[in-house]
Amino acid sequence: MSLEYYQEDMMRCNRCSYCKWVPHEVMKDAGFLGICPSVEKYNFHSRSASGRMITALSLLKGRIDLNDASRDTIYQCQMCGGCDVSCKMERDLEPYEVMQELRFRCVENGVIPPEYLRITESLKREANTMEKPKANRGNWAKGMGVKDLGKEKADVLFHAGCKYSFDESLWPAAKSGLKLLLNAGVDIGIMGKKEVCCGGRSYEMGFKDELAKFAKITIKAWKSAGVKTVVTPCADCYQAFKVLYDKIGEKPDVEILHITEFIHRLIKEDKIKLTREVPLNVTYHDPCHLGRLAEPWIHWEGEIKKVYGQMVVHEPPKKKRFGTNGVYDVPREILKAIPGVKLTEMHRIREYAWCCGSGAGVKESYPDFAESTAAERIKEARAVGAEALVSSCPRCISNFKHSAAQTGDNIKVYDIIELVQQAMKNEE
Amino acid sequence: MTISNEAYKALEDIVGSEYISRDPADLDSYCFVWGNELLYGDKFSPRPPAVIMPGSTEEVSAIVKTCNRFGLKYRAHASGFEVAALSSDTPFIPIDLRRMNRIVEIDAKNRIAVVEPYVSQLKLFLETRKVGLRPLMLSSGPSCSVASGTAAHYGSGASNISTDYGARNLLGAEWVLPNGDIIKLGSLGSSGEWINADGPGPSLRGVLRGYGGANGGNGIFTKIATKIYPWYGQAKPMYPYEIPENFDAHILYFPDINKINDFTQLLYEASIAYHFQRFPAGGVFLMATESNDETYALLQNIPQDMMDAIGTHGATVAIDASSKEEMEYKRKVLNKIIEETEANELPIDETQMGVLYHHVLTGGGILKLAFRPTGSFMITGTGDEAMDSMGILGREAWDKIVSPLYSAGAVFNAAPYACWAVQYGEGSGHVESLVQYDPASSESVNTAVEQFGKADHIVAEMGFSINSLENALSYNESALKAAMPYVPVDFVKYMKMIKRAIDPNNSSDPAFYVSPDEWE
Repeated sequence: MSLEYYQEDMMRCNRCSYCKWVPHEVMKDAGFLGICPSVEKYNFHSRSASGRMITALSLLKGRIDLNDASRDTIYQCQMCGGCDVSCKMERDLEPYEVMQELRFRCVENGVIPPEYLRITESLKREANTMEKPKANRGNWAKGMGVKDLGKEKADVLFHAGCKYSFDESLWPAAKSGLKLLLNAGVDIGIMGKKEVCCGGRSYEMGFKDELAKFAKITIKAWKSAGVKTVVTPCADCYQAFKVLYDKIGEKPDVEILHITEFIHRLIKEDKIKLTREVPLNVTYHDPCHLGRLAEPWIHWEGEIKKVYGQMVVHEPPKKKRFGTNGVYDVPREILKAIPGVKLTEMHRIREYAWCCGSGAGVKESYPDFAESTAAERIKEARAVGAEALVSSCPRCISNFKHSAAQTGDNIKVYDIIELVQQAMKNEE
Repeated sequence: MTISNEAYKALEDIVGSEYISRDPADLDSYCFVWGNELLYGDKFSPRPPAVIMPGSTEEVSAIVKTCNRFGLKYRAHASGFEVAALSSDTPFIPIDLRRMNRIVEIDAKNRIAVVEPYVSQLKLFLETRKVGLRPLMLSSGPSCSVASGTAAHYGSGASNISTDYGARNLLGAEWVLPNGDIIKLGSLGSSGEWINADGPGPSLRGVLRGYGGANGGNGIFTKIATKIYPWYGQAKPMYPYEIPENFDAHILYFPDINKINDFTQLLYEASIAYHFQRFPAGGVFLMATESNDETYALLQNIPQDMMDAIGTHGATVAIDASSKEEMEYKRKVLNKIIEETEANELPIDETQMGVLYHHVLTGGGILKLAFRPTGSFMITGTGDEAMDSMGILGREAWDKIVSPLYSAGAVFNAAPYACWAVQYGEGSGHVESLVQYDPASSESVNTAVEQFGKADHIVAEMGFSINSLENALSYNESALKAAMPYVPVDFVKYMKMIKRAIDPNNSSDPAFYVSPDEWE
């Protein structure tokens, strides 16, 4: 597709602003109605999905140029997809795809936040987004005695992802996740230093070729290793493997599971037993990349035609992605299975969850925006009486911890893996 | 209109650099609104010189005074959804009231809510329902501003039968006049209480909005008080929607226009309804489906004669009650009216009924119904008079304005007589003929523009009142000019006098109001 392909969508946007709010159909609390972190922070309409559709049209019509100001309009957004869910509830438009195409156009024209240059340089040289040497990629698992699938064979690959691999504050969770699976008897290994970035985050930033490049490398490596299942604790990687690779025609021929899905399966098979009391009043934050953005890609090819005069339809019919088919129940069922854990839902959940704030390069290029977005979520967690915020994405967890520290909120932030591990301690 | 660096700096000093912009990418999102293509042949109207976002009444006042000082035009808006919010053939500074989003007070005892301009209908409803009350809900949808619908712009909605329309709900306003002075209307001006817009204290309600509202052409409302009504449903919204015991909703269609007119009159006289709208009953299929593709698949299975029947003289009606006995009484009355007027019930499933119930409560549905099929819509043959008269207007507008567009395939034409109407509390009603065109198709737009261009005169010639002239192209006084030969009093002269008196610099952009200039 191209930006031009979506021009009619841009023209059919009616600037209703529904993209700024959670769908009206599910609004619960007057204090937490926003869905779009960008417009909540920056306020101008240009910072909404509708505004970016208008920016795209303006660009196509030659009314504006790509420059530092329009760059910020486009990039001050986590690409969380909440706007797309709210819009699609009412209209047959594709605001998310327009925003993605806008970023591709920015990259083609070299108009990107300066911080992205460091990240892309790191990707080129070190195959990770964390600006760390690729030789250190497997260090997080040192001493765990796990198979190195560069040399050995296993049915299951544990793909840690860039964030877990290089952010040492997250290593305990990564190690716990791997240990859970090893202890459950799973034939599992890691790629170690041969693991590379999934390419998902750079794709969201606008570097579409990077995704294709890393998809090819990754899938080839999986084939060589002969793995049947890939499990990752990283929501970004999960979404890239499951959705984005399929979107660009590189659907892998292996089973892709998020670690919560694997743990859930092992609980059902009685291979993981959650017996230890964890007395905690928690709420669960749906990561965008495990939630609405993880909904399987739906390919469509056909013709857009008019019926009944001017009614716009697709031939064959095109199924809309509402974000409802993400991974929502699995983490909740895990939490409910932990003795002592009381799960209280926030007002904005599942496909209309508020974003953590760190997505699509925002943490790196607009850190204050990432922090304020996380602070809003922590406020919501507090509003429902939670003492702990639990999630299943390293970037969400890291951003919440950072924001809580900055704002002086002592809310506890957990990776769901950590709570599972706590509930299993007597089993070890 | 351009803005000097000095003027920009003066405005920036009021709100801070974070809340003002003159970056073209920001500005283009303030000159793009549905309907622009009908007015200017383009999605964009002239680009504003700057956009500004105040956070308080004092900031609004200071901005307005600064605009007056530097000869800048301005117009305020809330969500900016409506064409009248942002469109103009001359550039002006949009004052985006997004930051003024507080519910100031809910006075449950006196049934009054006080809100800032960016408070949406649904936001207010979420709060009032906690104390067993509900606000007026307009059919422009749940996102629409309470203040806009009561103080600035029309105010029609399907719950008007139990709440009356926007103007009748206004209980007071804090108003920044076009020169920047702040005035408090009614009892607020004397006692500080939001009880009565007409006194004791200054009463300028007619000047403030009149029938259709000044659409931003007469200063800025920074707080308004609105009536709130008894709410018998749940304190918290329940999903998915289940219609509670003390609610009843129906989709009806009638054999002819006389029967639906009778039904409307009887329903009004019985005073039992929570919600009523004339509506192409087939429209429920648009609201209850997730995409045009689904709607199309569904409609293909409905025979055209059935489509014509349900699309022509349809209505949705809902009743509510505070007790089982009251509901029993209301059901009996409603069933009797249904029987007498030979209404048919459209058979729909529970999910569809749930969707309808949601829309009954929130005023929702406009996007799926009006915008989704083609991308945009516009109204013509619009007015407020006795309900049977409005039925005639709808029919005449169909015959003389809309049907050629249907025949040409220039608009959505699944069923004829796409007419929407609501009943007001005092017995009159409001009607709009819907025309759904594709803003991305120049053929659809141009054909619609050509027909709309004649609409002002056609409606005026029909003999309907000036209220019937809210048409697509009725801005910059075009409708008023069309109507003048048919009205006995040159009331526009007086509107212009008022405009000149309270806005001597013509700062408050009057594109959808009256200019101060005398007609030649």
